[in-house]
Amino acid sequence: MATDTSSQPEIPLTGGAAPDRKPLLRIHELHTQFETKQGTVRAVDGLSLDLYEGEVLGLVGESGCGKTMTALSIMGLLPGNGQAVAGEINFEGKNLLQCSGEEMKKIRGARIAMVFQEPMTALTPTMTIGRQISEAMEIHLALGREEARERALELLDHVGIPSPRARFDNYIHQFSGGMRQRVMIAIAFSCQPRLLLADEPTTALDVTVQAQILDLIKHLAQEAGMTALFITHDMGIVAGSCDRVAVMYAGRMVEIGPVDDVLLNPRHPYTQGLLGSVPSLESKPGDRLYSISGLPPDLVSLPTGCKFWLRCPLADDRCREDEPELEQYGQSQAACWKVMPPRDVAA
Amino acid sequence: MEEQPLLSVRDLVKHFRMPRRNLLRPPDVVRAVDGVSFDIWRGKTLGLVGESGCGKTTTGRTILQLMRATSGSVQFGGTDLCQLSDKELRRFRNGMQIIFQDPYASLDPRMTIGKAIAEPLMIHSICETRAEAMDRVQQLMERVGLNPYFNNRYPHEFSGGQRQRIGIARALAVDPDFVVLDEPVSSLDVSIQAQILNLLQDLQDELELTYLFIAHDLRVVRHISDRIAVMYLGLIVELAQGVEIYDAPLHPYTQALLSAVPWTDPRLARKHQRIILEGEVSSAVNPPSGCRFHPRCPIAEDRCQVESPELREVQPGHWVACHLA
Repeated sequence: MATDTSSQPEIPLTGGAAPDRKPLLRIHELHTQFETKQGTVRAVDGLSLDLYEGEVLGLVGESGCGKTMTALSIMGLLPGNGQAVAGEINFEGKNLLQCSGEEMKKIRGARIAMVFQEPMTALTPTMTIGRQISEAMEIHLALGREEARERALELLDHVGIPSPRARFDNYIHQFSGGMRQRVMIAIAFSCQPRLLLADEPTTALDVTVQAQILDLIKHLAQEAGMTALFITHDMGIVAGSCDRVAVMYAGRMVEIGPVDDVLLNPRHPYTQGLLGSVPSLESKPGDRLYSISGLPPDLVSLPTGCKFWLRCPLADDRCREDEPELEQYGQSQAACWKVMPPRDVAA
Repeated sequence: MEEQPLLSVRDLVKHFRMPRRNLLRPPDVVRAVDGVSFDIWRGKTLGLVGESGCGKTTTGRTILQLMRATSGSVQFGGTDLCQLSDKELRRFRNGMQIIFQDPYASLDPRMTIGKAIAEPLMIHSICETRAEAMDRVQQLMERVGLNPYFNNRYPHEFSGGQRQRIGIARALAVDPDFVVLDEPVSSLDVSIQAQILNLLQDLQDELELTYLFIAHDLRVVRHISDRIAVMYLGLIVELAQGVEIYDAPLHPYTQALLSAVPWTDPRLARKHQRIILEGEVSSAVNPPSGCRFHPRCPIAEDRCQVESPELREVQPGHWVACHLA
């Protein structure tokens, strides 16, 4: 049975954000679905999320939890068989889901920019990187060719590409993984968007380069007062780079709050499991990791009740039948009938 | 440590010759592994870490003789594998196995997983009859946490974590002493990663397996290894007990690498001063003179540009290749 959205209690979804901040992006009850031969895949299943001005929010979860589809729904870039069938995404006074293709073209790149995991597939191999950066600015900022070129050179220098003048006419295959990601960041920041969506921007990179790129994005976003949504599967990246964190499971949000509160004091058993699965600096070598048994559910036929009950060590009859809503606990919110007293997952 | 190591690698070198690009010049040579030495004792795990292209995978494959070394020796239970012919090596093959990062790429898509696990049993004549082999397959599947009922299914019907379990069952089928694990969990989701790491630890305890664990995730490596070796551009720059290397890294590269680890504790993330390395890893075709790390090293001196540092034991069991450590 589909959740009846109208009967839900109105909870202020601030999820730990400072009350004086204004939301820049409001996602309300987003449902994104895919039609496949096996049936309807419910990739995002009633997600509500507010992004406040100037914050960096981490959206975490495992493959298939709907985090990338949330970002693509915002951008209006869902693959052909996918559609945001219900809900609203409000940004700068517009519901993005109601915007025409032409309107979205003006928003994408100019107001909302995205950094993808794999620059090789996100950038054009047959156009010089200089052209790709200046093109965006010619279109969105109506700059002349020369002016755009000068700005592009400044940007390349700013994102840490050595000798930008020499590199301007290079193609993307002539760059290393870290440098490619810098090029994509230059494009994303070129039109000074209000909102940056970064989808696993460092997953394909080595640790030392990962640290460079994360620092670069953080620094640039702060400098420009930009709001950012960081999509990642790595709680470590959240710990180092985000202000708030939202945890997704099977297309829904199961926990949201300030990074310190959620990571040091996770309420949802899934969040606890995710954190316990990553070896920490306190764990002794040879300790067993806390692991979540089983696999994520099939998004074509989701279980009734809490979507996590099949893998949850605490599940009882109520969890199997009724779906929990987000409730306030301390500074955070979690959707679980069994919120436990704080447990030291690092131990 | 008085006991003989199960595996002793000495001055292992593996160079790859690139296709000649200019008739007048000699072909480029990639110095993937350029003189690596270490020991692994029975029942222990050596973690081998480093960034892409540092030679860790090549080291693993050269030890198993899946690629022949350019020079150096690999003593396995007292025999130098590098001196053996391919035919002589076959006797040692079932003592050493490898588990790959991508189990999907290493399984035949047209072979049921039961057959895939039984294959090594038949090849090495461990099982005489098919029935005996199928019995053993069933045991193995149960041991790695797969339902034996699924032995007639094909690899594509399994998830990533389950495929990795198939890969493990296959490697264990021949009762090896030594297993090279080449990034065995890097393509898996964290919750599945923890399941596989726990399984690998249980199997090690139960079967007294010896592991060479190759990975780039330093959190995972710390968790599973007894000792850790850090590689940079084909050389080991530091080798020590796992915990020691994390508590007191001596090589500037190890220090930078460890400072970049994204620990999940936000207090730690704030406290940690990240050492951001300039530039990128130099080319393995023309490695820098002297210490190979000197172009990126924050504390390099003139000497580092000319003199290549030896790997020396600075504290008992803690080896480092740096003039300034």
